[in-house]
Amino acid sequence: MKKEHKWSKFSYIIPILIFIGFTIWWLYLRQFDSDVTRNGRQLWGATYQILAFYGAIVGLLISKKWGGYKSQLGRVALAFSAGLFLQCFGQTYSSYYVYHFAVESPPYPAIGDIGFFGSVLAYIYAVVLLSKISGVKTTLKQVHNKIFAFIIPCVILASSYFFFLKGYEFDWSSPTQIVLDFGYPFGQAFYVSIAILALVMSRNILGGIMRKSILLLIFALLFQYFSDVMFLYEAIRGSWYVGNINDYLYASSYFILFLSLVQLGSTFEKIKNS
Amino acid sequence: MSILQQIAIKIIREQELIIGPLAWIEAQKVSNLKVLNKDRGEVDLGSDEPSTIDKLVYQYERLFGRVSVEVCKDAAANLIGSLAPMDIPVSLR
Repeated sequence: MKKEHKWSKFSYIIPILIFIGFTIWWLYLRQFDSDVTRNGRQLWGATYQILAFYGAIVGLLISKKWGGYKSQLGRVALAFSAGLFLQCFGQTYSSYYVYHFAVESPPYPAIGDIGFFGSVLAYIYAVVLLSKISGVKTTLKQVHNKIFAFIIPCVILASSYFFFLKGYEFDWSSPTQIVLDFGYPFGQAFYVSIAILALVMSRNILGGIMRKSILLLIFALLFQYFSDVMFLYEAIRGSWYVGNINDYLYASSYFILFLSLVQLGSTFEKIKNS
Repeated sequence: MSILQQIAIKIIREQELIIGPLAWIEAQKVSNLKVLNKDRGEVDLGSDEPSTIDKLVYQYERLFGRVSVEVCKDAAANLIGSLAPMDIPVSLR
């Protein structure tokens, strides 16, 4: 019991220390003009993914505790791990490209998008499982919840369309770009709408020891969505650069998702030992 | 195997799909419930079987609240009809 308690404490402390370290480094870089700190920003942007990588490894271990692919909670942890690994892949490629070709941001679409778009698909799978676990299926028996289940995704998908894609000009010479131009905002809108749906519809039915862990995972996804939307907005305007506030939000997203997975692991120990 | 024993196994296996091996660990914490053979799905529910089923359902309710109770009810739904109304455990009514 004491050993488990120590493990639990240790698993929280490491990501917190890493995140504090990257925050201090980022704040230091922010003091100077962005041109002067180019190399520092690139290094910061290339290394904070350690949070995602470490989180993904921890997620795999936690998934095993919950039964791995054989149980829904095990698959949730696996899907989040896969999402974090894919983000690492995308970010590693982007950082390599930016460093190697001495440019401010990577091309689009590029190999890195396999990772970035793959993570959107992993998060969709995770949130669908989370909504099942949190009892959305049961609440769908009530008519007003059926209406919610229709309206919430429609509103978010329509908002995404009007915000990011209204007046979109199709360039059929690059079909991959068209798929990604639609895939990113719609994929992200889809996972956030299921997340919000799960929050709204499970409020009167989801309880117990697991409630906090499930809500934390959903919150981590909402935060990830906030980072993704901000990125899309800045990328479209051409104002995104490595080490900007949005990049820091991504580091925070990895950190929050990491903590959510650790929380899922410590809840397992808490239940097992109670 | 009694209907209530079959219900207990269905509930544990349905919970196992959600929380994995923890479902069996939780079941073993229920007083009067003995897991005889996990693979073959054999349990002993003691002399008051409906009460043991109630305790099993409450054990899972501790984890996800009402969601867990609904999962238990869905798992038992096909077998409940085979029981006399007075034999149906309170938690599954």
